[in-house]
Amino acid sequence: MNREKEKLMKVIRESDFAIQECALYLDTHPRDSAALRLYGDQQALRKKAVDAYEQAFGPLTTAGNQFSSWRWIDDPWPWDLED
Amino acid sequence: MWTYEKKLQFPVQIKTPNPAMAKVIITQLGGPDGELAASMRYLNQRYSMPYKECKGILTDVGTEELAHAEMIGSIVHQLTRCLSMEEIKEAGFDAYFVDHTTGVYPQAAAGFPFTTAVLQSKGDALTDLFEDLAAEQKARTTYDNLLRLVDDPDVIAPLKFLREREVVHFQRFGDALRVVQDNLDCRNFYAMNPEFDK
Repeated sequence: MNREKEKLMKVIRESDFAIQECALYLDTHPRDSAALRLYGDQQALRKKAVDAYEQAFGPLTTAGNQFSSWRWIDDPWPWDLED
Repeated sequence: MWTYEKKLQFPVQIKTPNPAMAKVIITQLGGPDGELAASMRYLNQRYSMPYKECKGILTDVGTEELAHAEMIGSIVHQLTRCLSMEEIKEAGFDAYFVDHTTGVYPQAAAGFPFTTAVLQSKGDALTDLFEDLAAEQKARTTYDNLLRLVDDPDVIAPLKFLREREVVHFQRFGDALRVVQDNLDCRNFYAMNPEFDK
């Protein structure tokens, strides 16, 4: 895997995980302001990384297909073994 | 991975509860031609599918089926609101009631629970796509049968939407089948299995 691609994917995975953890926690602690702040910070981090990733390496969702061709279907898919 | 959107694909707002209707419509959640089986079928067939167009359509249709399962769950839920014991008994909803009260449980109209025995992931691109085409037609027939039984316009509208989606999915799987065939030997499509023989 391309080094830049790997770097951006690492940021996306880490912020995704933090967002997921915050969301689960906030479901049962909806007024925790520290968790809310962390959630917002991680969302911003994620958005930046996703924008950069999709621009360079193709869409992560169909909505992220911002190009003139339908790169959404391009290999590799997540379950494919990469060279 | 997946993310959730807090909305239905098509609105479900049923003003009049009707447990007798819920008892048959629930089959499109957990029955043999239901939405849950459809989603599990397509999402599990993806891994061995060699063609990117087909990986795409199996992913996107399999994901849409989850949204359909949510619509059926919403219909069943709204049809079983605020029931009296008399209404439950009159509608023949008592057997379901003792097992699940008015919780939504994926089962067929005949009562048997959701099972993956109704679907296949055969590891052969042609075989799987023919299964998928058949599955969409079976689901379409089920919606046609349900629409014969329903007279509430609040229920008819979402069922008609879901029926139409079966037809569209059938067409898209037809396109996918052609992609597979275009990649095979046109003199003998069955000379090899592109998911196993590399």
